[in-house]
Amino acid sequence: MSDLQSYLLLSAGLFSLGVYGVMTRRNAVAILMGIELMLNAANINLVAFSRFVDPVRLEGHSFAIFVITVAAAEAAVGLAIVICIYRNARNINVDDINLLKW
Amino acid sequence: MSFSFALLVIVTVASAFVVVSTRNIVHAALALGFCFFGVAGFYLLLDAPFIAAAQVLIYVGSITVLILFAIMLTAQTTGPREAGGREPRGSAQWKLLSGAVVLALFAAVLLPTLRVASWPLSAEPVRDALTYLTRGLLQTYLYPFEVASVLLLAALVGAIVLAKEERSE
Repeated sequence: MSDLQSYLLLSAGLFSLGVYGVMTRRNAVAILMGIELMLNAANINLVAFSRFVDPVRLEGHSFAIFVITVAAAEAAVGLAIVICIYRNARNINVDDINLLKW
Repeated sequence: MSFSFALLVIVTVASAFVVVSTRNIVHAALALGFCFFGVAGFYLLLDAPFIAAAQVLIYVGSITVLILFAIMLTAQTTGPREAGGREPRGSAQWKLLSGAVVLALFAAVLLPTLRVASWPLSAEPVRDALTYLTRGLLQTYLYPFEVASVLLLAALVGAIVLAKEERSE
């Protein structure tokens, strides 16, 4: 097994744990944590491919920086939404927030 | 496989497992910080020191703290009530479904890819990673770079507006 393949397996494992967290947790903050795990797994993939396939120009590093930027923006806005929901509903259990469901 | 890689795999995967499995959400947030540290270690192993530093600053330093603040501001789900509390509704089906999704991903995508695909691997060492990163950000991807700054500004203003407490006159 080459180095690249071991990094791919690692990031697949992290991504799977993130999917599991998003689908099983009911707390909105915990769901955001699962999303962060998935974004980190994708970032490991980007950096590993740019290290082992394109070590001269390293295009993947730029993509990784953009992913980190978008993840930071997403975390800030997502947690602000969670706080806003908590202020209105006194609850952040995603099963109980069904205002837009019919 | 090097010793440091194996050590980082153990730290990262174990703390990620704690993140998704523990019932106490403060423990989950702290484990998430450890997991981010492990990922920064992988970036160091991959000759990406700038991204490792950005990972420590942004993920470990700010996102973990932000998550801890959100937990404190929405405090009703922490503590022993949640720790020893009831299993949430529909949990068994969701666990089965997520297991099936992940298994399908592994079986259908990853394993054939790993077996069949061959990438044009290059044995060149990484030289001057930071030079090429700045060249990518300020030449090749200049417009996405500017758009990202606008996105950060919009997220900043949006988060403040959303989280600001409305005072009635």
